Amino acid sequence: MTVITQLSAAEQARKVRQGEISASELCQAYLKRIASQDEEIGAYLRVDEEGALAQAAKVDTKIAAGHPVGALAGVPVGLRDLLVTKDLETTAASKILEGWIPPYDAQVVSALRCADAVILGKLNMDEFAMGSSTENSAYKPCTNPWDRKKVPGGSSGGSAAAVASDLCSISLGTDTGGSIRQPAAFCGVLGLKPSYGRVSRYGVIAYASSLDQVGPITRTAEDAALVLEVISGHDPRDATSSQSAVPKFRDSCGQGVAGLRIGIADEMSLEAVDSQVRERVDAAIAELKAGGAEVKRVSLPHTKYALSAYYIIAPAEAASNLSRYDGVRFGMRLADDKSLQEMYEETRGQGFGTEVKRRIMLGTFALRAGYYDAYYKKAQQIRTLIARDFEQAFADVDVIASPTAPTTAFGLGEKTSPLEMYQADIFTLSCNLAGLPGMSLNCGFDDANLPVGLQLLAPRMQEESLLRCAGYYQSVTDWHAQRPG
Amino acid sequence: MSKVSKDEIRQLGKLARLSLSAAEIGSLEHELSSILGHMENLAEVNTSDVVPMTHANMSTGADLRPENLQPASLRPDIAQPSLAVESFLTSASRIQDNCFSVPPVLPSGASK
Repeated sequence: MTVITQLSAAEQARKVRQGEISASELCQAYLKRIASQDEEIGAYLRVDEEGALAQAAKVDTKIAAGHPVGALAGVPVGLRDLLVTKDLETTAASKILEGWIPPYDAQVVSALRCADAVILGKLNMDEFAMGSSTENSAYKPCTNPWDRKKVPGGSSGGSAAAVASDLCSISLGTDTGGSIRQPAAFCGVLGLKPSYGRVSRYGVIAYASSLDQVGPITRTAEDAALVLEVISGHDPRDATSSQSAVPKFRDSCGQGVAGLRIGIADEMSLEAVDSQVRERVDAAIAELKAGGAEVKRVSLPHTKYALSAYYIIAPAEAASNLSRYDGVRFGMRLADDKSLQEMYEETRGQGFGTEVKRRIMLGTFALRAGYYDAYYKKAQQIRTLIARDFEQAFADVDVIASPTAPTTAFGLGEKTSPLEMYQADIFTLSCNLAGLPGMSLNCGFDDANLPVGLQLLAPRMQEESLLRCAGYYQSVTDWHAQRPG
Repeated sequence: MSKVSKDEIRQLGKLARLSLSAAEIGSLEHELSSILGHMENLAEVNTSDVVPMTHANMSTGADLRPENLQPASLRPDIAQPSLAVESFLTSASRIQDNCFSVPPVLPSGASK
């Protein structure tokens, strides 16, 4: 018997459109799974049962009346809590925004609604997207569905864990330095970070505006392509959103990899990479080679500076972006009977968690008069050099392959120093600094049955090359179809 | 050696509008020093002729032509209807006369 929660989103939408299953039936199946499984996983911060069932009923009514329906008809979606949702509490997993009911939808949320997707609820994450393990959620921990003692990765940990454990069909995450790709790798699903500007940031709670992008987390390449088609495109409300045409991404998934040039960078083949991760990634690259891809060596000499540049630029932008949480316009307010300065300091001091405060302090340090040139400007110059490295490498190759993370999922509470945690992102950061599209897809498991992620990067606006690789790889392997027990 | 002193942490806390406990000041002194120590590797790179990349849409070419600094597009500067003011006021913890209310900025009697 077919389990409807195990069908791909594309198949679910097809069956809903053809009347083989109803959107309401599909929605209820997921709500039931959430009720029975999520207490242990912790993927959802809140479930909008009423809203989801109402939306599903609307889709069913449209179909019954013979009206056209969208590309994601009836597909149950989970949204990272960084995405603003009209009339549905949005907190960015922070206490400072507890109880905030936004009066509008993010552009990506409107796009999903227009495509007739059903929004199940808001997913757990590291507070304000700052973290690599979802341990910085102010509300509750999220665990890895493959091993409950391990982290799901971060910061979109809830988005990846929910897809991996079939608590939604697809989800949206955001990626500022790896926050879609690294949790996708740790949870054994596919995460796609689009090129900077491909997807509107309108209504995405800002962390580091020159790096943030929204993208899909799915099980299959086809679903990632489908979601990307729905959420991409120019939006006048985001001045950085690109005017580039949106290709029919799904066409790329079946094109194969014959003739595609894949680069391997020595700088991403560090000793720090776990030997089993290295083995699985090498095997995946060999699989792509067997499909007709050409494998070449490339050089990205400034990669080793990406961590330092990122942890100056992102906190500097965050310190500025998060200044709006001051107890005046939304969220909590403390020390209301004291001076304005004291009210600000108390509200922010109590409302933000440890990692958020750490990054605000780091960003404030880097932007301080007298330090700006030595830190912020220097980091932006290094950013130029990192982007140039990629431009030169992409003159010879179409895609660059590497591990997504140096290890598989680490233990809850295992990483105790901030710097150690930041190093979990060494392979994902430079993609954001250069504005490139990047993907992580499951390429097998280590001996402890934890998923390994293969990262693929492409030149700006060339998501199609990533989807070609993923579509081909998933047609010759079945790692993506495996589910946690 | 510490890159940042406790006094600097206190000063940064003021700039960032964050109240910090003594314990937080202690751990931030240690953590920020360690993170900033790691960042010293940036000094190895000669960046004297390199244009800072301020945005992901920016060209990496070594010039500062306006087209390299412009965001992808700017919408026309035309007044358009926006969401109702009331819809935003409901999110605030305190409002008065259709405005956000804040604690007094000046001490009482300051205008005399």
